[in-house]
Amino acid sequence: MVVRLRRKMWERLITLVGLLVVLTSHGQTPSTYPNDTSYVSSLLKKGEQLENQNAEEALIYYRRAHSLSQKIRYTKGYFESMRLLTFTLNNVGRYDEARSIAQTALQIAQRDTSKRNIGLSHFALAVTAWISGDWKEAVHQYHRAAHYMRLINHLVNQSVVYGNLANIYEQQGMYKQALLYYNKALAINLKNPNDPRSIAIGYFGMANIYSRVDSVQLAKAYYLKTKRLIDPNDRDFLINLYNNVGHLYEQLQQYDSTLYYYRQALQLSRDVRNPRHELHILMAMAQTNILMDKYRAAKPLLDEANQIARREKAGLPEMRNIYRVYALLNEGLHDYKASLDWYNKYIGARDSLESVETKELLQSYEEKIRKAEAQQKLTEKQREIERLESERKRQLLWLWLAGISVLAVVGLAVVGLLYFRQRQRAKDNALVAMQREQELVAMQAELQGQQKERLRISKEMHDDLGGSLTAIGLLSEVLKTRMGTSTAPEVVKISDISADMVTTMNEIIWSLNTKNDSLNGLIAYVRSYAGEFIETTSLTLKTEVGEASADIIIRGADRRNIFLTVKEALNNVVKHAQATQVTLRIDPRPTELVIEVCDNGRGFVPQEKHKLRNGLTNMSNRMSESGGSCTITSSDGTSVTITYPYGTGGMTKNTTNEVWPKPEISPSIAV
Amino acid sequence: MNTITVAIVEDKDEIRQSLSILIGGADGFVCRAAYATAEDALVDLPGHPVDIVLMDIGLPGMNGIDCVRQLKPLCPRTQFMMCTAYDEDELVFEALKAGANSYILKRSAPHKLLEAISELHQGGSPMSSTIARKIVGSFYQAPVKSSELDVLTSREREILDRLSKGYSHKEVADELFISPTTVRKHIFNIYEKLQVHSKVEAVNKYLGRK
Repeated sequence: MVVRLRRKMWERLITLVGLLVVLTSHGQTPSTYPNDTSYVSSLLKKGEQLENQNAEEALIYYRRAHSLSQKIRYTKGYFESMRLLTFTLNNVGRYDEARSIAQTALQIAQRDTSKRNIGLSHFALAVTAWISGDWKEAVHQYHRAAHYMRLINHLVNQSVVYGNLANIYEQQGMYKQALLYYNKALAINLKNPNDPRSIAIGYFGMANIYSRVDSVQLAKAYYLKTKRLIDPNDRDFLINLYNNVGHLYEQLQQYDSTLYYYRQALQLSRDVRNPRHELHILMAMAQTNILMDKYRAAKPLLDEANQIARREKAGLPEMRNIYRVYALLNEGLHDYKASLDWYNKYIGARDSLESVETKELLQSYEEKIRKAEAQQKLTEKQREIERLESERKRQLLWLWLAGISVLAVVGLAVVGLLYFRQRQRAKDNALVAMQREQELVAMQAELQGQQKERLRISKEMHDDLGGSLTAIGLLSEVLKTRMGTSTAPEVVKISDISADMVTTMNEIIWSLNTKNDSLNGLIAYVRSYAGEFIETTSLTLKTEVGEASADIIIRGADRRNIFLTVKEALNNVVKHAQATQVTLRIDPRPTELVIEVCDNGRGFVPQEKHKLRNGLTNMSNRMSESGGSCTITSSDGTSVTITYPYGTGGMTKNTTNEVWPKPEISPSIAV
Repeated sequence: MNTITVAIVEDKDEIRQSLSILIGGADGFVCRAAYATAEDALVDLPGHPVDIVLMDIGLPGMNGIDCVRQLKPLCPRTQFMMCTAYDEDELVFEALKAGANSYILKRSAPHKLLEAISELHQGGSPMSSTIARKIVGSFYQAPVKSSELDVLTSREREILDRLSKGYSHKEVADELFISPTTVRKHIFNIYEKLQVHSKVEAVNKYLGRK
């Protein structure tokens, strides 16, 4: 009963809030078209006057204003009539009509992009959703409305939206959110002292929440704040306030205070001739008396409530409650027979109420099914259209294919003819090619034999000579360590010679191993040798090495000749040139390899010409053996240029380095 | 100063003895054991791990490469230095893939040998241009489905790239503005990745993914 009453009260609150929005937007009516617009305004005013007594008649006025505004394109009038119309339609339960009107309004508002009108349309949709019980949609629409209200900075409407959102959250039992939005609304309203009623509504809502969550002291405080702001003539509001305060005291089991406030509320509702309020408050008072075990005092109150309910043709839910309280009352009076009768009535009312609910539920299902069927028909039509469309496309594709096929046949015929001619020519060439291939196979066999032989020699050198040579070297080292400073010079000599022999043998094995037959391998080997060799001297080495675009196979003998020539050139620099710096330039060109060894020494010296000539002859011989050349020039220092054309033996092979991004050729200096 | 414990695996008596005299006589080094065969080393070393093992490649019976492959998981804290009579690049490369951390010519001057050992002990290795070229080939010519572990960093690639062109360690260091020691540490890491890479490669081959 109490809950029931309270719920009724929230609905009254909605009315209050809704009217507020209507009123605030009403005052801004412009008078650009005095005659027509003022007619619209007068229609709306008439409707508002009638709204509470005769909703149907009010709706007629609103509709007229609505269609007239649309006709004469009076935007403000259109949206105001839209709001009043949807609001009243919602009040009489015609949600679908209200929704479609609000949606049309939203579309129009979006077209003329007035943020205010978009906001108002969302607001109307929100109220519709709310009253029709679609909380989720209501919250969504309210948020949209609040967004636009913020954009146009319409604070009052913003606060109204927040207030309504708070109400929704409250009804959903989300009290935290409700408090948050009440506070938001309050924050706005507090800035406007000319509107104490809105502030009072905020306080009132918060008090209700505190009452619900049993924060009794806070609830009391906020009810008091509310009381202070209410205009004594605002009886409607006072009735709600007294009713709720009474309920609060009931929670505290202070029944005398409860009855005091209920009596105040009852008096006021009699003054304003509101039988509904009267009925509910009488019921509340009767129940309080029952709680106090004052059954006899409760009876006349309940009887009066019953009378009013019959007179006013109250709905089944109210009647059901009356039956229930009567049952409780008679039970208290020990009139169990009467009590049983009331219970039966109560149960009957409850059942029929439930059947009404069931019926409503079935109706809504039917409607949903109808909608779904309509949707299905629509999709079927869509599919038919798609099918026809794809058929058309397929036909086009076939045409294309046919065209392409014709072209392909013609093309094939031409290619066939060319191929036939080509084959004739190829037959003649095949014979020559076969001969060449045979030659190549024979050459490769010979080459393989050579390679095998080279491998055998290097292996034997390594296995047989290598071990002993190493042993000699190591033993001489041990001898040197043992003898310390008194080491005989012969021992040192043995050590040096064996070291040289190991180095030389290394070079021979390197040149014999066919796996090293590569230009890039040779370049790296020469470079690394030069680095190591010059490091043991006082000279500075400058290296400039170019990048080979492709790796090329270079036979072992040629590799060895090139390497030894460079080695000798470097040796000459160290021994004779009296230079401080030597430059090694390696330039792998597309057809030949050019290596330069230059120093900044004293150049040719007459006394040593003979020796030098010998060295030069030696180097020249080596290079010409491999089909290359070696020249020597002397101006500032000496420069030895070694040239080796790759020749017919050179074949490219996959380079190992090409996978990497090539670094720039930068000269580097080794000390 | 921490002494570095060393073991030698070498079949030729003179060389084995000479090496153990040279190492045992130097300050900071102890020659813990010397084995004539891989099989002896396999039996004894896991129970008596050392810091560095000098491993000959050509041994009677099991060769040095297979010996490293088997010892590596048994002696996780031991580093293996292959000893070669010459630049036996092919074999050295195989040994590096099998788990060796460094290599050296047996004939190197004693001070160079000791330097190389203590350097390896600190996580640094040398690399010749021929080895570098082989590693480049292994990593980049036959790409395998690689795990994260065997992907070289850009710095490692830079170093490998220059070494494969015959740059000396010092040249590489100068050009990349790092110390030669750092270069050798990078090389050490490259060898580690090479081992992982080779394992991945082997698995992929076995599974027929290549």
